[in-house]
Amino acid sequence: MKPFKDPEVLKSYINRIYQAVLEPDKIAHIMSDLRYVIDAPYSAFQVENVYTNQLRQASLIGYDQQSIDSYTDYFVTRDPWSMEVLKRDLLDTPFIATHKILKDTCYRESEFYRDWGRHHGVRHAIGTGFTLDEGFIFKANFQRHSDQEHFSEDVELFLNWLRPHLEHFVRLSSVFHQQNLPLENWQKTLQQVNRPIWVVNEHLRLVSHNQCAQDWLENGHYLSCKGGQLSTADHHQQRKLKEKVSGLINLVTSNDLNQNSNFNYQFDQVRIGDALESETFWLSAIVNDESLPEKLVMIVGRKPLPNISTLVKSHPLTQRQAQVCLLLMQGMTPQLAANKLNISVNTFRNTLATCFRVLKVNNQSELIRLLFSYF
Amino acid sequence: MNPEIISSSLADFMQSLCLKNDQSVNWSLFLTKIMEYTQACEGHLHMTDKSQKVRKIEITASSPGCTKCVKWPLGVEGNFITLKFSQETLKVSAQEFLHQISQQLEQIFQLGWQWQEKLNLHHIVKSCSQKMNVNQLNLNSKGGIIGNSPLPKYLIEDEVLVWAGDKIQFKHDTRWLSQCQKAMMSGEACESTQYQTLQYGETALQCLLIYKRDVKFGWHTQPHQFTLIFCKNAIQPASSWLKSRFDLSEAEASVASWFSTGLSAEGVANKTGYTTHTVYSYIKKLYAILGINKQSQLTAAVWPELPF
Repeated sequence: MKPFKDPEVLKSYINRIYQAVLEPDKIAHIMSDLRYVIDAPYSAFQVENVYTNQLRQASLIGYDQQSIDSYTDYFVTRDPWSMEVLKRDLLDTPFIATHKILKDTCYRESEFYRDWGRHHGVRHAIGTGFTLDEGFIFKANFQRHSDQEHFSEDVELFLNWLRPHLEHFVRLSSVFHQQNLPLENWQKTLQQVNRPIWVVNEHLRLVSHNQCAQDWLENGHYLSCKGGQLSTADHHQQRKLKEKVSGLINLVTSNDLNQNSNFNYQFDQVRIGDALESETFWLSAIVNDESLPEKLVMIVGRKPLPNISTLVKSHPLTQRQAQVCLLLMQGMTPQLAANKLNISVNTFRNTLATCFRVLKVNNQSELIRLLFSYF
Repeated sequence: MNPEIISSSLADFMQSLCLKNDQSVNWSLFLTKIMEYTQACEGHLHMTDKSQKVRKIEITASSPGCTKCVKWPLGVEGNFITLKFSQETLKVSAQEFLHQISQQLEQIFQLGWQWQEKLNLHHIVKSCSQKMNVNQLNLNSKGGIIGNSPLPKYLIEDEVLVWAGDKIQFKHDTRWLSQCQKAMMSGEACESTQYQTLQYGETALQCLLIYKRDVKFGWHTQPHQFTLIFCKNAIQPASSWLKSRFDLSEAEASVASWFSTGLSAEGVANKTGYTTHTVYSYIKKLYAILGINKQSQLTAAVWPELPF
């Protein structure tokens, strides 16, 4: 039995193709192995743009450089795989494949063969094209020399069995790895928010948190994370936090929050700390139309004080000006702050006045507000 | 077994999961497809997720008398399918079929599973962001919007952003966005971020532009993408919040709310309708409660704690 009629060979390729969904770079290896199975000394596996004639990414096996250079002049509109996509008017519908592997005879009838293949001794070719979005086509094809036999029907059949899976690969690898669509970007967006955010379930098990929250936990301000669970130093406060979290979850489960947008109804607050100092944490239930496996609550802490270097980076301030602003943001009076910096109050006020001018604000309150509202 | 059936059944199973952006995994269709190929009359899909909760999907066809049962494990996390059949011969052929494609079926199930996990995380992060009034847009190098991410409502209603041909720009400063993009791409401006705050009506809008040089897109990469992040904040703290946070009266809270934004006492009087003297007396009380004596201290106390 020839290998490409063996179901085991087919199955192992299908398996590898689906594995490659998570690691798309592997597909090049799979295709080059496939080349041996169907005995094609040349193979091309490439992504290109029909509108700009630009080769985005390619895995071309068996061609010498000269061949590739001349090949790229021809590759877009004239090869039969692209032609098929264009002919069927599929270009604007993303992730659609041409319906089957194009036969050897289709290749030899094409303009591509007449203009390029014949001169380069590539007599037999078989392959297919898939559309991606924004005018990109993804093509897979295999070629043989003039002195070799043409591709048999068995090979064609084998590739046709693989084709739907390749199509899934093309679609899924894009879906899984698309960074320009929401998934990963939302996560980055939340990292940009300059406040600690923890997401917990009703048992205070930590589901997700951002960088700022991580820093907070490492510094151990009132809240810590033990064995995946959010906990406070004080036992009573822990119980209170838990009560409020489950209270919010009960509210969400019993009512439709969207109908009632009352401020006090959607949010809750809890103060955590010791006898001297405490912090307010905001609680809010996460409501979503999609059914999440469990109900979650997010806990949001106070905005941390920026450090001098971030202030200098985000605003047109000098080191000294940032230092002065920072003391003010801590709630110090100018007199106290000036003492701390070992300068006179007048020098302090002078520096502040420069900050006002640079940041286009009128008084200390506005300055603090502006610096705190940076994400 | 016929390779053609292997190929077409696996392709069908993959298709039936409906793995698409922003769409949850269609497990019941997946189960239905498996039942179709195995000719089972009853099917159950058991899934155990990270929180040890079991999700069960059950599909029953209308034919009665299903007694022969097959239990088929999927993956290692205690996930399995049970299928019931009415005849012994059906059961045997179904077992054989499942055995043939077991490895691939598991692979497909795993992909669906991972997508589900990704999607869950996405929903969490997205609703958190929305709670915090944070929104984002993805732009290409020319300033057009990538993907089908809709514009946040407040940006359209308040006409902060406007379309100019196929690209987007700020209405009050039409060149800011394209200038930033140009500067970032040529390497003149700070590689990672550009920032601006604008105020309109009762809200302040912060915009942050982030530049990415190469973006992986499945097997291929796309160059030059930008993410514009918006954060919408009220320009003053809500007085209902101040009231509960510092235990103030209604009137004190509304004065505190305006005063903390940096308005003078006269300005507060104008906004609230109280006389300047009343405002002064409220501020005195407020200072006593908080133990402070400067307006800047009030702002420094209130601002970092603002709820979303």
